[in-house]
Amino acid sequence: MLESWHLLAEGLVAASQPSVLAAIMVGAIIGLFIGALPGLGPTAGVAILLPVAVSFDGTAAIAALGAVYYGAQYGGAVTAILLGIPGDASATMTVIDGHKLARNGKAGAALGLSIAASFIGGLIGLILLTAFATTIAQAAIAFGPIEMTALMIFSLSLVSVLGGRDLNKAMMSLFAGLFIGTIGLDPMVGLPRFDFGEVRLFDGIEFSIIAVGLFGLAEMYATPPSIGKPQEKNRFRFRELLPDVRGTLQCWRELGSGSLIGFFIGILPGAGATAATMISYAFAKRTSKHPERFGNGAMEGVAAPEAANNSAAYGNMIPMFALGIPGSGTTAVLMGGLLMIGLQPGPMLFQTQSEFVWTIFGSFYIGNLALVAITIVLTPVLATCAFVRPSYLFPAVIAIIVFGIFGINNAMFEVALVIGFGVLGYLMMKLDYPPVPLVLGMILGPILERGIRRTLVASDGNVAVFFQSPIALVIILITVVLLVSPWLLKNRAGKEHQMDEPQAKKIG
Amino acid sequence: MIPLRSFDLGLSAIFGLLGLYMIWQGSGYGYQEGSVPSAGFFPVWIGAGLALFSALNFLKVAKQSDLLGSVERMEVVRVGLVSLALVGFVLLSQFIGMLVASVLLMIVIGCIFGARDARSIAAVSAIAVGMAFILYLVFGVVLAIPLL
Repeated sequence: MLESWHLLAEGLVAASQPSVLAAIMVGAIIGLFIGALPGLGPTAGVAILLPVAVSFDGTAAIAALGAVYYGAQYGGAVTAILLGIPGDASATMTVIDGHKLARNGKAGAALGLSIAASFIGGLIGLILLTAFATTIAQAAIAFGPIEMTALMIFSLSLVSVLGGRDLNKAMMSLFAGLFIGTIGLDPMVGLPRFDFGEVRLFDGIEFSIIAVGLFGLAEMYATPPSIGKPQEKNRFRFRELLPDVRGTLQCWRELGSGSLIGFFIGILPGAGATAATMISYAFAKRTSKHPERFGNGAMEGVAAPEAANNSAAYGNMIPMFALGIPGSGTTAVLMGGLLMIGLQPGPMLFQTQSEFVWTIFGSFYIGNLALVAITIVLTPVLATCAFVRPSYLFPAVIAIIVFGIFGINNAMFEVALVIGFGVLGYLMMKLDYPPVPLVLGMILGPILERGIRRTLVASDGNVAVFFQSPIALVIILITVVLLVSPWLLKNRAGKEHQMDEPQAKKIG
Repeated sequence: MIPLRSFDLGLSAIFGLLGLYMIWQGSGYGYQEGSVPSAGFFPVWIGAGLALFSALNFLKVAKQSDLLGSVERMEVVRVGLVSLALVGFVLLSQFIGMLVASVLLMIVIGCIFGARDARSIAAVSAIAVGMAFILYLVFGVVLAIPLL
């Protein structure tokens, strides 16, 4: 454990290089604005910047993309409190009490508290990330190809939790992603597959094309042009926006519980920051001496969800860095970024690219601290973000996308592909097909295929080899439970509903 | 308003056909060599899964007509127009260069997303010119990407 902190200290020094510092600052500022702007969430933000960021140095690129992710958690609160408009889904719970406080003339207190809660939540999340990521990665080093293959199968089974309401559609999305992952040269024998006679598809489809189309363009397509038109004039004096230190200190309990809940919920695949804010808010209300104040402008009602969503952002990164399993849309895109710069997330990353990992973790600490100052300074500008019209914002964002995608291979072929994936992403969004399983399939599919084929070649086609390793067997059993449980729960709920109906009729 | 049901049926059919194509094409790559899997092994299984779940979804949507709502006609038109504008950008870039084409692209997209009066169009045009300059600096100068 002590070694981790020593490596972190080295990482902090490495992350203080001017190029990485600049990347953190740019990423954090962009993240703040993405968090504050309605219509663009952190996943879309990271996806849009992915092709641009990977053009720079690898460490700086991931530091910038990470900063966009956690910066968005800070930014979402500003418009939620001042205007009652959550810039991002994870800021929805902050609206309840935060906006009430702002309307009661305590905007500064609420904003100051949200910044402090974001910082404390982020810091606790980071400390736990530092402690847990290495421990999990070290445990996973014992994994051989069989165990890793089982782990990939488990990761793909996460569609049952990441897939939204309709498991059928989630599976379709997953298999479509697996298909995209097979495009290009076969990893074992080099035979071109599904290239449709196009040489430019021999290397497969670049991940950022999918991410930008499905998350970036699709989200903009679905945003109504009416968004951003001022409905209510909220004006604040700068003095009103200054933080209230005493009020913040009084919420220490909610800051602690929110941070811990956020982190552990964040680790769970599919749960995400929004769920963490809801659970931490409910917990804070239940354990409060004055639960009646919640919903009417309670400071604790801002502290708990804001600490939770920032902590959850780091919890979310544990399965990605330590096991190579992205547990959410944003971490899936981040993982795509790591793959694009030639790094394979997972336990070996801590062994082979230790300096990179610790520099990135160090950059998270620096970014989290820097965001406190940046958010305070930029609050007045961020407050106007909710009123930016799509007709002004989207042309600029789409131009960045087009140039970023062109820059991958200096070709318009990729831009043409992104247009198609944008339309597909929009259709999927409207028809309730979750995009995250598609991304999971595309990222994990090739790894899974290599694992299965190499293992079967080594065992001369003996499938039983997957069940001979106790670790692999446990992982496969968990996978089966994960896949079967939604069907069982659904059936059970259906039976209970049928049993309740006659009783309801009797009562009626 | 356009009912989403027909879109869902269409997408399920396309995915289903894609699954069948994968099985056919995967078999062509070779499923097995001796006792070990070959290049078509994985595509065959993926194709089967895609075809199966697409068929299940197709049947589900076909049976229940009230599963999904509808989408505003204007929204679909907007998606089509933005896609067309992007296709136009791809084609035009070869002749007038990416920077000039991007200015036109941004103005058109601004109009599609609601800039209709002269003042808004002027604002979008100013943003477009400013943005093109920033894009030139970032991509053309800093990243040294040979822009068209």
